[in-house]
Amino acid sequence: MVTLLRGRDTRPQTVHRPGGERHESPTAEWVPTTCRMCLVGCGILVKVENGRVANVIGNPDTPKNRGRMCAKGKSGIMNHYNVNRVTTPLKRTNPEKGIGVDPGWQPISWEEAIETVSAKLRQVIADDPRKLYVQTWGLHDLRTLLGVLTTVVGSPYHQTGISGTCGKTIHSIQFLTAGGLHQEPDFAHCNYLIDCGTQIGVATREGFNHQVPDCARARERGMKLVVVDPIGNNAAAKADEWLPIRPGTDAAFGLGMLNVLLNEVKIYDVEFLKHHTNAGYLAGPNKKYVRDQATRKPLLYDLSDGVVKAYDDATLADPALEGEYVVQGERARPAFVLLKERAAQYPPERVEEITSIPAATLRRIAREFGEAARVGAMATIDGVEVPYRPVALEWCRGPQGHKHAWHHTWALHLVNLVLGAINVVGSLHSTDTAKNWPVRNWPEAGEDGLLMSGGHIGRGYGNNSAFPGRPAHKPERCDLFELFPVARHTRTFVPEVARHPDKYGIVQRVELVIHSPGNQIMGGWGELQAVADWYRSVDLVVGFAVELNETHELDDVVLPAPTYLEEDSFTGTHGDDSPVSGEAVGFHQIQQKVVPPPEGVRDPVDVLLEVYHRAGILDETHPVMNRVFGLKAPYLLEPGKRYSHEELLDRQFKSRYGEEFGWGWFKEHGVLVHKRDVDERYPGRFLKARVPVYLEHFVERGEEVEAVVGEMGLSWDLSEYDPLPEWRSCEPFVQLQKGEIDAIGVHYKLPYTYGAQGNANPWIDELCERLPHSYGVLIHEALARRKGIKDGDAVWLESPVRRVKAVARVTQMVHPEVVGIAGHAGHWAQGKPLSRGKGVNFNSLLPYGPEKMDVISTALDHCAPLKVSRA
Amino acid sequence: MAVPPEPADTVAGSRIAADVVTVKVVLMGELRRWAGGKREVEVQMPVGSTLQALAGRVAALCGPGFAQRALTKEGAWQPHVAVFINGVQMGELEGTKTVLSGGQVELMLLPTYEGG
Repeated sequence: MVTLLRGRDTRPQTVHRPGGERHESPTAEWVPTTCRMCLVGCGILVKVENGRVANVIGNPDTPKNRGRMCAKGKSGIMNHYNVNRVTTPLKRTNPEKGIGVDPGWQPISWEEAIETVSAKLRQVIADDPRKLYVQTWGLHDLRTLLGVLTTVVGSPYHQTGISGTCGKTIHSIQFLTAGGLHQEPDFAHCNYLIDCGTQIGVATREGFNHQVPDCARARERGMKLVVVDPIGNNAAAKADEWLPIRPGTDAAFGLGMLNVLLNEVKIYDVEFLKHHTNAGYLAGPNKKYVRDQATRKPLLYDLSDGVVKAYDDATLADPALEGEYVVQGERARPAFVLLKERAAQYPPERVEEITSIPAATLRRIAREFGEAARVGAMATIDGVEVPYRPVALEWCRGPQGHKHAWHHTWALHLVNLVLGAINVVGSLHSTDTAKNWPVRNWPEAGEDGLLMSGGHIGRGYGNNSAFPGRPAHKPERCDLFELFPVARHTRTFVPEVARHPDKYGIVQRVELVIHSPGNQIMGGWGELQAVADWYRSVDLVVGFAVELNETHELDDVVLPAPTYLEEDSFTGTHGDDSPVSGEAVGFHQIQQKVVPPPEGVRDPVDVLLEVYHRAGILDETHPVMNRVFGLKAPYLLEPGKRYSHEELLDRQFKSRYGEEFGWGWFKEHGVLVHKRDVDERYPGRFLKARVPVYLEHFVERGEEVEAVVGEMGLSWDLSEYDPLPEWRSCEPFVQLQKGEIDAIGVHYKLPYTYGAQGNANPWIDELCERLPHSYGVLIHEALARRKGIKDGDAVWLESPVRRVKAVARVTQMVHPEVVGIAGHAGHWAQGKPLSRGKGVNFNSLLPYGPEKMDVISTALDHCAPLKVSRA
Repeated sequence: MAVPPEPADTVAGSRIAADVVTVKVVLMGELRRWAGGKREVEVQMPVGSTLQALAGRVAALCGPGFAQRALTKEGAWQPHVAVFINGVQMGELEGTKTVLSGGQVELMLLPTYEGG
């Protein structure tokens, strides 16, 4: 049921309504909730017959997926009825912990389980809360409650993701340049989309159940889709052009695009650059801004009167983007000049040598993209004029999974920025940048007039912003966060520090880990032994589990968790109900239990509240929950009282939406839809802040890190703290050039699997068996010929850390120098019998160590150096 | 937007003299460790002071360790510090330009959403 709460235009949104018998039954027979088979969180309707889940379909009333659902969503029924699921607390009896080692599980009572966790938590709180480390994945209230725990007790360790690449640069760059969390194109108006290392609009990413039809409609309308990817995957199959790119060269591609745009065809958005970015800020020979000596504000040269002024001078009319000026006795040039000069170092011919993309192709694509951007054009949305820039260079997992992740992704993102194509009609959007209702939140300018505080970042979450960054200092944290001043998170370092604490001077040891369902060991880092060694070093590892996966085999205590069909949550979809980019409506969608959990399985929120009570901190959690949940009188939590999960949910909804729209209303209706204003839909030029195209603060942050690591005796190359992007080779790139390896292993996603949870599902497993590239590895026919490999042959893939056997799928749909490995397979856990031995666990092939990580973001290099041979 | 009145769960502590407002600043979690164990500090600010102006005063009371971690080098609140004024997150008001009128300001560090 759709409700337009604000009472304005009640014309219903256009939704896809699957035809047929399913929708002939009354709505009341279907329970609205949220799918959790991946991070997207599509709205679903669930049919229950005789107390069992009989069917799951997409909910037409949520803008997230508009009635559509993918294979994962439908197969969620089988996850729910997994015959191997955990239904009682367990403790390990085998003191030996290791990969493939039987924990010797023994069922225990909930009383013993809760008291074991509570006792350790009491001890850790009393000793030092930094001994607590929490790992969560997913959007359930379990994550929010664990976040409250770390906030209350003062532990800095709340890992809200798993992958060694995820969020490494994309969330940082989005907050930095647009104020939101994630990104997606405005498909409704985009005319030219370049997917660089992502399959958005075709097979993956946020909300792909609306992105897929939206992208298809855009392509019908004439949008050109270019896929730049080492793998000719699902996205390439739908593309107008597929450009196979050598792995680890995205920065060169981005800089090549910039060079053509800025220096050859000279297409860029002058007005945007002058008035909405720091392109006009004057930089001196030391790469730093020239600043007013009294106010320290960055200076610009005003062409209208020939006067040097601060960025916020009311008389500043026409900042120079070109030229050279003498200011305070020194030569100074606008940052834009420096950007152009850097880009000029990447003529298409040089880019071809690096990337293997032909120079003529790069020139043509860049020109097409620039022309399609319609610089200067305006569109009228609901009577309001908004810039129209119908192009998007979308990037994500591929480019941010590298040793030089920051520079790869920053170079790509700049292509959008120089065209003014961010958060406007047809362009790339930063999701959830700004909200007017029900919670007003807009990003604002900070130092140097630049965007500093992100807007709506979701209640319960903070923002480790990349600007201005944090002064480096000697680390105390086990993830060395203090040494990465602009990184969003540095969880990649945890196993490294556990291995070499003396090297980093870290005396603190983690003694208690609590994690949600997820598979950290398979997807979180690289070399498996390093990860296993860290878990083994922890006194007590407690895992919530639906099934016992590879990570649970390293737990000490397992707490059975409900499936998403048995669980309530305030948060429905990803990003705290991020609206679809550019769309006229926003929404709030819930997750609710459809069937009760089996005997023995409890609500994790109620379990945690009991643990907090026994640990003596429950009363302290109430003030934090009041703020994190946005509770208002009379729904505030009071000291000395205890609340159930349902009571917490009811208070959250009423605080946000009013007395009429409590938990009961949402359980019945499932989703609340409301109208959005034009500034919320296209916030780009409504932001009262400039965005950076030149990262001046990197200079000082890098100097600070250098001073600290020098004192620590570490020898780190910090030259990447450069205000402008640069391409640098990674080790596998060099090894390949020298002939020391046969190929670079590259991971790619499948739309019907997600993370490491899908393959134990019989329906997903059947899909993977029937689609031969799912469990096989893609090998280019040229490499196959050299190695005497035929399609279907067993092959060895050997990296410095592991050798695995795989099934070869010989194809042209992969870069000749690449082996493509899909999904997250290669399971070994006893609790996943259907998955064992199928496919390859890509992450296990990745060498791990500080030299493999991006010195800015700590992204782990996902180029796997491989030798390939016939088995 | 006007600053909301004190919420029901805060201790009434606002005193407005002729030219100052008194603000109780409550530190939560890790911030207490940075502030040498302090759980709260009371600050008097000139009438019309903004949340941003409060930052320097709090840092002076809580010490250099706090300042190094909670503020930028220019003395602004770091984006990772969640600030609530009388129960409302600052982003829902006027951000760092919110004018203080007494009552309670709570500072806490919330987990960063890192990704998938």
